[in-house]
Amino acid sequence: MTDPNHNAMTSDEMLVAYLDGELDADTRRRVEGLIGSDEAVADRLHFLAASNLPFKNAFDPLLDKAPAEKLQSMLAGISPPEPVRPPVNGWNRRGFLAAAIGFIAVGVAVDRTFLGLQSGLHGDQDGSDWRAVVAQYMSLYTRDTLGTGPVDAALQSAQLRDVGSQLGLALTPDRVQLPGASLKRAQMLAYDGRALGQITYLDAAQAPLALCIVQSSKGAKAADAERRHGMNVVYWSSDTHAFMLIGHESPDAIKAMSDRIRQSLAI
Amino acid sequence: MTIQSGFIMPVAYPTVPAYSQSKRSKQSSDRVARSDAEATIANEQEIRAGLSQHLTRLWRYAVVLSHQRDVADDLVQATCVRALERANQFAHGTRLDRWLFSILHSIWLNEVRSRRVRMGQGFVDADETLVFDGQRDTETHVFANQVLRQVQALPEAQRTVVFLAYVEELSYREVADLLDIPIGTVMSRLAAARAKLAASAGPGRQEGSAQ
Repeated sequence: MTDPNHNAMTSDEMLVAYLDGELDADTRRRVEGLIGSDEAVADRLHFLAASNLPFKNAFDPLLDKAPAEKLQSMLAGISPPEPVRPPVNGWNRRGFLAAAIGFIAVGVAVDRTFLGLQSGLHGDQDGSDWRAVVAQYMSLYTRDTLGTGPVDAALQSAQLRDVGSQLGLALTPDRVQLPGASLKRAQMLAYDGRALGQITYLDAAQAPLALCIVQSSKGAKAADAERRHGMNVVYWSSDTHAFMLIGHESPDAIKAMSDRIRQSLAI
Repeated sequence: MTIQSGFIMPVAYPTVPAYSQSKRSKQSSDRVARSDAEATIANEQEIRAGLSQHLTRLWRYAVVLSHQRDVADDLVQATCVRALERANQFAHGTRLDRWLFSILHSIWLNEVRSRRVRMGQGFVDADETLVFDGQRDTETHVFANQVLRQVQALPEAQRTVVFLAYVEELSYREVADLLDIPIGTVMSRLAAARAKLAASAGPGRQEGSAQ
């Protein structure tokens, strides 16, 4: 009790640190001495020790509650960050701006570009927002992103089945096969809290190509074409889903492939 | 039962925060960002693998912070994006999981929480999101649920340190570094949390003071 630091040494902070084994040997001995000599300190320690609860056991079940598969596919869907991409191939935001300016220069209607930018800023008003995001993603894909090794047909079928079931569509390798392109993989991404299915291919020139699907109740719309991030896009909707096919092939080739998809999915 | 942490640290008086400051600045000077492009690519793959390994732990921490599953999903996603963007800032030889936790925490603190508060959405009660549905009502589970609820009912600052120190089993020093607060603050938050938990754990006891 003659210890000038008595109050500091017997504070709750110090007693809890003692319980947690966080004190060095010297301090620990001093605190132990005070516990032995001062009943009030011993009582307080006893009181605080009642909070030695099985915290780990209590929180471990939460790990099983985590949506592990969803998180893994989310992670898999994150493209390599922009700074990692070589500037020659990668389309970063500056590249996007340059492209936007380029489009104006080659005669893309200014009002359309303006609308496109606006919808990016003000939310998904005309359904084009998700296509902008997909296009930005796809602009980061290279042949290597999709892998050049042999494909596992059983795995692809399973991936398609899984993506299809989440979107409410029956997807099989046969139904999504595209002439001249090789199917690489199907995975779930998310856009604005909605499930987004992405089926990727390498086209005849070994460039990335993707069919992306979201659930949409905005009503059926005939196919239309646009250009985003230097790629050609054909997009359309059914009563239940919105689709886009995006790639580096010519507008006509992309259009022909989208016709094939619409036919085989009967949409 | 004493909860053991990784190592025994030197004396840390709550009244001397300068101690932790000096230790922290020494540590942070080790975290020199690497600019080499090849290292960046290697790092990105390493971070991706680490993220994949720790996704459920990150999600659990996000639930502890936000009390909401959907916010936790978003928080983990934002953490993945940020970690991959900053892969070259990760210092080799340090714990990757700690680094990811600190990214998640700072996104929560600086972006998500403040936005939600501004939007006036408020937060739901711990009970609403954390009930272990489908779990059998064995005595152990009831008790585990009770502990979980008690911790989740603590103020955010307190439940965060309790979670990191006793569930993730970080040392005081590691908690202080992760949250970027003085070690004395960790100690006082733990002490306050423990006093509250002790009071509800032992209903017969009266909370007294030793001072």
